[in-house]
Amino acid sequence: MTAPAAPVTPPLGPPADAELIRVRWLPGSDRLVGTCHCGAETVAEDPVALWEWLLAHPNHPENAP
Amino acid sequence: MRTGLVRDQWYVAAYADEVGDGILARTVLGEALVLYRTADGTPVALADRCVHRRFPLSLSQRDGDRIVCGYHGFTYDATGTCVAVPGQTRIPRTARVPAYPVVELDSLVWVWIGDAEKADAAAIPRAPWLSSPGWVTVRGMEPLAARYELLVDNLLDLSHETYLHGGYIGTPEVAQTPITTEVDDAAGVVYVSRRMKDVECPPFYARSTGIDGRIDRWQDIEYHPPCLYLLHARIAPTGVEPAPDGTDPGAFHAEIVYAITPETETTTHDFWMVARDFALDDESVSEYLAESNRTVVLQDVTALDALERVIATEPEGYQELSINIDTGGLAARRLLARLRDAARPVPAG
Repeated sequence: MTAPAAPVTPPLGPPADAELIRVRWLPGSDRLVGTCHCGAETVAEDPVALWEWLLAHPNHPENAP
Repeated sequence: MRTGLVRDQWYVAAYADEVGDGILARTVLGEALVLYRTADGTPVALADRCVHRRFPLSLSQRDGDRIVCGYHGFTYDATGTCVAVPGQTRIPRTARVPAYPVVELDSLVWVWIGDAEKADAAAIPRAPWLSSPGWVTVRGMEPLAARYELLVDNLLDLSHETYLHGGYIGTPEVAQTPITTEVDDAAGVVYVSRRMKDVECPPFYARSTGIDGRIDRWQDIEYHPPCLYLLHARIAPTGVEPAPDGTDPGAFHAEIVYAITPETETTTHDFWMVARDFALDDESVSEYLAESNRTVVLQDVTALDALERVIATEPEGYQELSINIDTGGLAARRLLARLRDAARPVPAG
């Protein structure tokens, strides 16, 4: 008789080795902090403009969105 | 908003238990399919249209692993090849119906819509808790008279729970709690995380878990465009944290799964599932979660059907407004557009 399989445990969040683009909403504010997988970081209040800034990698504009 | 249909992808066409001895008709990305299971248990998906005079095979009969067209008797095997025609022995070489790649996984029947040579079963995202020991799942499917993009938007921004689903899963804190959005560009996955501390427990979880008091509530979304949406929900009495070794015996876990399958450009199959790791033998909890979640899904269906009617009448070029809560939905749209463009045929010349 085969033993029952161990219950699966769902993951929480991305794999540890994933290259991520991250947008954090700063608690207590309306500001978003965007971080590219290359480490470039900026702050914005408009998610559309922030994604454009992040997706410009590797040519992130010098000015914040 | 108007990404459009994305071909060359796997889609959930049915729950495994829908596909059996009968013939199931279902349209996916505008392609009418029939689904059935052969005697050895293999699921089959064929085009729902006899090659002879277009009669729907879904209105026909099975003869073992074959389908006999209900109009003139053209008979197809599980590969879609015509193996008999009426009154003559010669079967035209072109007598076959398209057969679709099919994979049964985690209690779901996936079909590949697009160029069959590109179908790779290893690319199908997984939800193993739907068919694993230690979990119990309730499920349903609601037809949506709205484009799938509206359901993606809806599910990537759970702040709407506060307003649309109050009294079930919505509490004020959901809309008030900031989110973190992450995109794994290489894998093509969007993650949205909302961690709520010391908050009200909505009836959906209070009644199913028996928690009487305030909770810590985690919502960790994982969207694998275009079809599979996973919401890892963790509910615990406030202050109860996972153990250092990663186990989490003091918490209740619910896996909310959606398969978002376009039927046509403007209609969608809304497959919903709730898997839980608690009260496994309590049928009353299953009944309550099934009824409550169906109510919540129908609240979304009503709202999204209304949105589709609005979109149908709006002028070309209407501009939406996006704010912080939309960060995940915007990320999902971009990945969907990328998949759509990758599936477009390369222009000749």
